[in-house]
Amino acid sequence: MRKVKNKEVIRRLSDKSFRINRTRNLIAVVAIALTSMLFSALFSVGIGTVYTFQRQTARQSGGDAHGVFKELTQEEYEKLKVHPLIKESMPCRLVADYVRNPEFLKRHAEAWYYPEKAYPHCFIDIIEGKAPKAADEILLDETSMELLGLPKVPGQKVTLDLQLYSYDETITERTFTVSGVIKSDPALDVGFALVSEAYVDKYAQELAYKGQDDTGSTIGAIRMDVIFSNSLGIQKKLDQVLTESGFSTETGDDNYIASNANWAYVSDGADTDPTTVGAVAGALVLILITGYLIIYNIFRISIMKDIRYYGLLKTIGTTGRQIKKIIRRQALKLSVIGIPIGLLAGFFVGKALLPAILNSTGTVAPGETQIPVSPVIFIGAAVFSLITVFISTGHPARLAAKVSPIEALRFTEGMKAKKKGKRSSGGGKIWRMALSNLGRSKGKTAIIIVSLSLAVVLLNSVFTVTNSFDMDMFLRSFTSSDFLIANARYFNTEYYHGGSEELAAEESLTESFIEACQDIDGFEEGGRIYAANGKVGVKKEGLTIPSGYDVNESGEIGENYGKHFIPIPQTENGDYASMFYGVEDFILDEMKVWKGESDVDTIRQKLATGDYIIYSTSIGDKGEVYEDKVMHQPGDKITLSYTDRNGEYKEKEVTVLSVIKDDYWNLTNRLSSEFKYYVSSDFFKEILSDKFLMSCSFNVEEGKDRDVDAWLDSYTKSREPLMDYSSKLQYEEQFSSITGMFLMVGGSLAFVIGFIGILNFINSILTGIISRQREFAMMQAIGMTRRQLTKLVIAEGLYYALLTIVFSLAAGCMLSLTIVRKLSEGMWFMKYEFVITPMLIVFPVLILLGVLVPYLAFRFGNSGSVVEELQKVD
Amino acid sequence: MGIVRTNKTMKRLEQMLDDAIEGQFQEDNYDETELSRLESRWKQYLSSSRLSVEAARRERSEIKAILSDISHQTKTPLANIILYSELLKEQPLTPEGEAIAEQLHAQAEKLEFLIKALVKMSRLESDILEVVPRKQPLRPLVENAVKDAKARAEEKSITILEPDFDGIEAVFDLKWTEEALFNILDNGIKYSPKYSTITVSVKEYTMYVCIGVADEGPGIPEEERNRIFGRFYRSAGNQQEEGVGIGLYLAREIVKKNDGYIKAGPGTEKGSLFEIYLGKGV
Amino acid sequence: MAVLKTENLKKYYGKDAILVKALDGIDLSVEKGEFLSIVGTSGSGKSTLLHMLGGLDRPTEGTVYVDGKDIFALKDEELTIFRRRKIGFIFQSFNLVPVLNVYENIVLPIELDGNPVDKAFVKEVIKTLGLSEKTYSLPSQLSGGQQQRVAIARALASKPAIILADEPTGNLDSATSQDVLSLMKITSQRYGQTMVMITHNEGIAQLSDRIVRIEDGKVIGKGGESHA
Repeated sequence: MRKVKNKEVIRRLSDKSFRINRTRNLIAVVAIALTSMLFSALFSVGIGTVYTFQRQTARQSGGDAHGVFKELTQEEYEKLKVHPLIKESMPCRLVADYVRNPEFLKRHAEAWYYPEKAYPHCFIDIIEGKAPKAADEILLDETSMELLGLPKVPGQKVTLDLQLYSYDETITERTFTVSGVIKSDPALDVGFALVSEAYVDKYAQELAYKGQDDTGSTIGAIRMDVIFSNSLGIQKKLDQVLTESGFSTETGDDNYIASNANWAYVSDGADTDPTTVGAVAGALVLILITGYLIIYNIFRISIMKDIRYYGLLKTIGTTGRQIKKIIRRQALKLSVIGIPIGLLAGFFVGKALLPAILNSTGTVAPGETQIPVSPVIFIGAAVFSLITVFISTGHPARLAAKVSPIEALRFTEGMKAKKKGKRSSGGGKIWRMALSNLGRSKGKTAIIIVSLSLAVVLLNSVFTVTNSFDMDMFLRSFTSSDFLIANARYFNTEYYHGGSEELAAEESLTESFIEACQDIDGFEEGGRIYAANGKVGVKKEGLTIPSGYDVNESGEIGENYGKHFIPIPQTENGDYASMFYGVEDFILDEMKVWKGESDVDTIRQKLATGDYIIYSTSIGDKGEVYEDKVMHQPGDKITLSYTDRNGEYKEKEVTVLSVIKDDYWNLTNRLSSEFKYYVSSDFFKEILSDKFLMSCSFNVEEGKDRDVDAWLDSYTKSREPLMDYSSKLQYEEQFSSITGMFLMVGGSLAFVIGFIGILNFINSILTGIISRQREFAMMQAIGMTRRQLTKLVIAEGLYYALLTIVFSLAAGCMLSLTIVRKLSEGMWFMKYEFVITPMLIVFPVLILLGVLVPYLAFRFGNSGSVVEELQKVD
Repeated sequence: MGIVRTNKTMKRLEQMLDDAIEGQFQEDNYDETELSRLESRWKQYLSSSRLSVEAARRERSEIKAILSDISHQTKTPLANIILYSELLKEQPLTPEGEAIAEQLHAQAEKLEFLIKALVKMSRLESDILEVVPRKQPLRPLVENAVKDAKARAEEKSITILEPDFDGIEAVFDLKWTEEALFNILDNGIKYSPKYSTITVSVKEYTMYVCIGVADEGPGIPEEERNRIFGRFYRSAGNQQEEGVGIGLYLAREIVKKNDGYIKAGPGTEKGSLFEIYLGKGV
Repeated sequence: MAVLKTENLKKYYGKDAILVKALDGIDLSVEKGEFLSIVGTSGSGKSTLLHMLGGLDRPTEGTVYVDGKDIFALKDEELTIFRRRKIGFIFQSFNLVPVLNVYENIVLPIELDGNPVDKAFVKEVIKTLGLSEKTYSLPSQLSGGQQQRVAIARALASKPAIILADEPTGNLDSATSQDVLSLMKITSQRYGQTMVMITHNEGIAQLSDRIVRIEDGKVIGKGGESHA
């Protein structure tokens, strides 16, 4: 049914009454801005985190395309690229199986053709010069140029030794002109030489890929990077494209085409992590509640103040729905002002917080964090802010809509104020009056107290959690010596493997680095750790596998990870593969013996004989031993098998001297193994090789740690860039950055919520005083002095403060003992401790506020222009 | 859906028309729909135009017709009656007969006056004679009316106290309003005892001036206060006084046409107070 | 035909021992174009009666017919819309919308209904009420008398079936009161506007066509029925 057109007048009424509520608008805008700032900061940090991780993963996986079809022929490519699901496709091809220049031995290089539009998706960042156009032009990364000994400027002539086919060792030399220099990707230790389209045309013959054959050569095969409209369900889309284009997704089929989704997108959602989801949801709810508390209160107070006005509108025929619209519109207007301010502020707050949060987790390098200016942040935060505003104004709007015109009229005419203020002589009466004034509007009082308490409790919780971080616990697990040096791979995700001597050459620590360290001023003592993986086996005979392991159908022993069964790895001879460590004496001091021989000297002597070994067993986060997974007990005899330096197969029976707890960060290569054995370094070298040098730990004189740290830093940067180190100092910094992060995030949250609480408090007190002008005048008329009135409002403020104190003390303690306690024991290096000092420190501030705010509001509000303005309105 | 709704609306519109023709239209509901508003306005239209205008017009023309009929039809017989009554007075009669002839003559003249007044009234009401209010000094109005009334007052030895004022202006038609004020004064004189005083006053307000006429007569009972302005109304207790109960009616009609109004109430001490309010045209 | 009619109108507050009969069976009938005064002392129930007539409150018993319509058969929201179409209010405390100027205040009920404003009529009303120069002033810039004149204009502007005035001169000095009353009288005369005025002041009531006296929630005397 067609409706009467009266929007215009509603709009006018709304806008005009909006304009006179200046104080309320100001406070409401600040409140809405703060609320949306919190939302947008949360969204920024959340999306920034996902994005940063995604970028990082994308870098490691070589691009940010959604998915890839592999090893396509030209026809296959042509068929696929027209599929409607594909938004963009980029055919990349390998133009030679190997680049065999000797300079690229250590860091090898690949020769590719990328279409130009693929550059941004593959992180090809031209620092200088331009993309290649001619057939003899290439782009080359800066590290490769450095390795070739060329200045990093375009125009250089480069001759690449191309081995076109993997099966044919013929080297084809081709000379190119470097048209541009691209940035080397730190996440990818590979050089890139990119040729032009003209090159592809010119050598079309040799690049013609005919599909997989026995040769294994993939030269000319097209790697098709595709981008869909969004990153949801990538693998599904890839499969759909394939099946609909007439290809198979089943390996082994003739028309099978391999494809896979970029793993940067595979697990980008928080859905995999219930804790994160919980934390984010919790934060959203917390912000919503905070915003609700103040916005609701602001609107409720404002509407109660203007109740006559709404009654009047009702009397002359404004319907409840129209009144709701009037209020909604005002709320919307305030939102339109407040939310963008908050969004922007929140975005920058998020930008400031994100590095602190991500860096403290240690997974992202400083400077790598990035928050995309994503509409999701702003839309999401704006939507949540609007939801908050609408939830908060809903009830006050209903209140105004439901006002009975009669009551509003009576309000005007009667003004029969409840005469609470009898002539008071003693001060005690004022206190009683103040208390009953608080009781007059229980809802308002409750809201103020809850919103102030929220901040106090939150602050206390943040401090409780931070306080529970135990630095000793943290450091003890990370490091026992002051410094640990090793190959850079050892520290990053590649780790040290120790699988073969050849591999060891690339991943082991250099003796030169150790020597350099020994020469540092302040070097006290240190010890090397050698490690070999799978080189030494353990005979299965006589071995009892503890109950903690699983057995699969074929009787293999291993462990179930979800659906997958991972058997314990074995050596070529069918023995269990061990992780075999040789340690120098210094290292023995650091071991934490769980069972068996614990005297370091005895251990040293017995290990030196080569007849004894130490077994290391896995532990949990809190250092607890998984008893059902302990392979050996002290005194167990086991038989080792290995091929010695002369290539002879040997077996040797040894006795387990003692069982130590895993020292993941210091004594292992950070890869899991069920059989971890420690022997003396001499014995290790005797049976295997000194090439398996994994790491070296050392201590320095007290007070020298900073100098040594600085020295190591510069050494690993300039002298031996492939080497790296870790130090107690770094872990200390990491620790303080974690606690700092908690303090900063929690503190700023507590601060903003506290600020909102105080704003709420000020608003309530101020409007309370202004709206009670007449009542105050009446009280003065019946003989109350201004002094007594001031006392009255201060008493009211103090009651708010006291009630808040009582409430937050109760709620804070309860929360501390329950949820916060759980949180505080959440991480292995945390130890819960009951803390109420932060609250106790805040309480005097509350009391001061309780006195000061009403006092100032009364002085300012009772004689200022605000009152006149409001009276004019009446 | 749309068609169904349109049909429903059309049906309702037709129903509304039918009801209006029958004179029993009633709004169905009050809500924010246009149909509901249309109903309200339809009702408003019906009550303002059809009922009132139509009824008033009909009433007025009926009265006019009756009045002109009366005046026309009675003119000749009435003139004859007056003629014959005069002739009768010249005949030798017994003293009793003389008194009756005198009465007869007086009543006949009164009848003639009445009929003339009625004609005047009907012309005024039917807008045949126009009242043209304009802004002008109030003084001549009061002075003239009081002067005319004084002649009558003297017959009953009634004193008329005139107000002293200057420079007050109001919006009115001098000739007609003078008659209105005179009628009120005349009414006061009629009902006042001999040797009493009638006080004329002028009060000025922001938007109105008020000419007050206070007498010392018996006063008007409250329930009659509005009825005295009705046509041919004469107080139950004052039936013996002469008059046809048309002067006040005429006065009110005239003042109304000047966009003013007359209010009758009790005097401050006794008697009654008539007030004529005239706009100042601000 | 009576534009306003009440039948056995009752309004009780409280219960049992403390039952207050604010209205105790009021039968009242107001003709179109009539100017009626309801006179009573404070507490006589006259304000309650006005609230009932205006549909601001619901009676305990009895009905009110406006233009032949039983108004309490309407739901609250409908009653509100009914009010803006059929009733004009004039209050003791003026009750203008402070944020709107004189003109906007006057046309507010019309605009709330989404009607086109009869500009000529409103202009004439404004002129009649002597507000032409104040058309764009805010209520706060007007004197009490002027504010009340705006209220009268607002009540008139939507051409309601009835104007209800509750002690319209209660907050005004006597000279200003006279102007306001005169204007009410004149406008009721000129526009044939039905008016019901509540007052405790006999003198003011004299202005009206008819006076109904109320005491203890009952009509006293025989003023209840119209005789026009």
